[in-house]
Amino acid sequence: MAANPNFVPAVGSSRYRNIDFTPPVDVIANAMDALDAWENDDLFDRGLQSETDVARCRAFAEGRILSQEDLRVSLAWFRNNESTIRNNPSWETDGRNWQNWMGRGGEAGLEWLIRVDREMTAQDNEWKQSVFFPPTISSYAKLATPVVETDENSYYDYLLNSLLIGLFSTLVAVLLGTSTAYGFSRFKIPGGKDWLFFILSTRFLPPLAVVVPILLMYRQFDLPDTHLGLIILYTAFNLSLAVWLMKGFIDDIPRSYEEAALVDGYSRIAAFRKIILPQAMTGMAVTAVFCLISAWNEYGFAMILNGHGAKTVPVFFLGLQGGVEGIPWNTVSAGSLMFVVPMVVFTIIVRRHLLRGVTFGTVKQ
Amino acid sequence: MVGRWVEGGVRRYDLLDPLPGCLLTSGPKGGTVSFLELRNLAKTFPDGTRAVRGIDLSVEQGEFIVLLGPSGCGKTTTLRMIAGLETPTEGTIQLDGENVSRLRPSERDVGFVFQLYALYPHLSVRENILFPLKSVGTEKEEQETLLEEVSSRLGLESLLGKYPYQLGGGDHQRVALARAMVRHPRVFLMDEPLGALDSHLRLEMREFIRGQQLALGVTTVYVTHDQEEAMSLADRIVVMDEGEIRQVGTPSEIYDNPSDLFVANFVGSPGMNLLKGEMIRENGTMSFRSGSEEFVFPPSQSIPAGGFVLGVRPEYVSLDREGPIVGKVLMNEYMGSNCFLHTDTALGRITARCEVDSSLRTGDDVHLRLDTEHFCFFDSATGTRVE
Repeated sequence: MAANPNFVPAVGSSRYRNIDFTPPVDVIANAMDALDAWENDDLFDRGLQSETDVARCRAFAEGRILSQEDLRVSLAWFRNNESTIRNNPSWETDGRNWQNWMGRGGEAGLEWLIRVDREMTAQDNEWKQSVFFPPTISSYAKLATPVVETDENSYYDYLLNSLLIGLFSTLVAVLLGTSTAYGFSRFKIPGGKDWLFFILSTRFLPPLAVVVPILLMYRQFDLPDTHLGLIILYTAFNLSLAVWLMKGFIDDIPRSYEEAALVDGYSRIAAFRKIILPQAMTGMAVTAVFCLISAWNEYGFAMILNGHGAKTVPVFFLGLQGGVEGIPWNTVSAGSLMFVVPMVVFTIIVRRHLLRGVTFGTVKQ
Repeated sequence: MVGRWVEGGVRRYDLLDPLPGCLLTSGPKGGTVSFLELRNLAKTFPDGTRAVRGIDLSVEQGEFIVLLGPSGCGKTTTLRMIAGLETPTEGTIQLDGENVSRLRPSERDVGFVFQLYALYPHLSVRENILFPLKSVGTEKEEQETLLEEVSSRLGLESLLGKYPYQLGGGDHQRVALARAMVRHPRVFLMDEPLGALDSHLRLEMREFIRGQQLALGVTTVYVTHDQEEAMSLADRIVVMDEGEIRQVGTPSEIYDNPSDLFVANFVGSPGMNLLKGEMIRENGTMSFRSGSEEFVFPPSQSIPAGGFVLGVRPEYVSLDREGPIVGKVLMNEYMGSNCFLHTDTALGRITARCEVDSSLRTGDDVHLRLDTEHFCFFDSATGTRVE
């Protein structure tokens, strides 16, 4: 394998202007050397320990620059181990990680590291001091392409997943919660208080404590990696909150409203639909906001129960870490903003109900 | 559900006929069964409270019946059982010759006015009034006609587009009344509908409700704890206490001839003066001795000797320089057209209703005379009236 003669600085680092990222020939040769060793299963000989190391090494050898963070780690490592490296020119003695082949560039490699670091720092300082900057929407466009080549879904697909799962689970939790709360509020149920306590008790455990049994159960029913699986899970977690919140709201609706409807010729179901539901709208809006927030931000289960079939945005963000170019903050920022937008829109939609008084001042209490 | 309704969804009264079948007839079927019959009606709540303990009541068509009693006496529970909002534990309710005890509220065809109005807050006045009609699928045109009729009758035309929270005081109650009236139910049930209004509006609405009821001739059962309201509205008053009926009668019967101590004390403000004492029959004379006082009667009355409670209304107690009873004024309660003089006497507390006399102050001595014509006697053991 030969060194890549057409070295081009990576796009990810393009915010640095006029820096020559090209490593010295020795460094590139070393990197190629290490890759060869990797391909010949001569892993420890070249100090590469993991796929990540190899990926970094390959990126370097192919002319894609590393992130500033990586450069600085290398520099620090090199300085700490400088004498060891210089006195032991053999790979076997000290090759613990990927950084060392950069140091292998010798004086030239070190000088290169220091130079690039200094130039980047200078530009960083300049950047930090400036309030005004040229805005760009390129990160949003970048979100539309898959991050990893093997993945055919982009951020927007995951956003759609989040939306589907969040909205459906919220809808189901609020509807079930409202009707359950109505039953508890209006009828004498044998052991009613115990049932309510039981419903609340599902919140006593941190949800992730039950991840193993849930995973096993889900496997039985082919639910991992499906939208339905997460919808069921989030609905179940939110239901106790919905029941308790809605019970409070429905308790506050005077019974005389339904009784009036019953006398006016309506069945109980019709009275619930025509009188209680419109009255409980405020409570349902509040409950929906809470349910949606918790489903929207849920991360643990979404990660564990998912490959990428129903991957949600929080899990997508995790995937952005540990990439070749470090954490792409511009992409993360763009994605985060897009992630917040649906919540803001939802809250604005239900705001009318949130702001409306609970009793509207028609029944004198 | 619809089966209970006459064709077209609503029953029409001929509004020109002043009081259809009211008071004088014995009900639509012409038999002995009244329009609304409660038989041995009882309600025990799951927590063991015996709210209503087996009451019997017959209401004629077109009658205005007021259930009167202190809070917790079972009057509201009775009303709610008639509406179907509570299920009786015992007994039956017959409406128009049909046993409705087990029917749902929606199947009973009654109009209910709640104390706190219970106007649907999210519906406009128009929608509130039309709400009962929509449940039975009344034709659109019919709905409009009925709405127009009821709103012009109650003077609500200008309020139709408003929402309940935009209404004030008596308007709430008029809309609630309109909602109950619009489909011409068989019975109006009203649960302290004026309880939340201030006294001025209450008087106005009282007249209004009575006027509407008379004009429509709809049988009405009205619950209140305000005896003045009961007096002014009712054809007959039903006085209740502790889940039982104490007395049924016209307002004047209730007031002049209370059937027991409870009614005597509860009805009237202030209530009857009650003096404990003993009836003595000697030498062909009959006298009632209470403390040091003795009242002599013509011996014609059939009251036996023994311990009794003497009841006399404040208006039959008069100030009289020659009066046999000496009392010390506790309070001179000024009422405008007259005043109530609360006195402490050897017989106990006696309240007299008399001409306004501001010279009488607390602590003054006054002489009182009781009008023996208007005495009521109650058995001191059972509290029941003795004639």
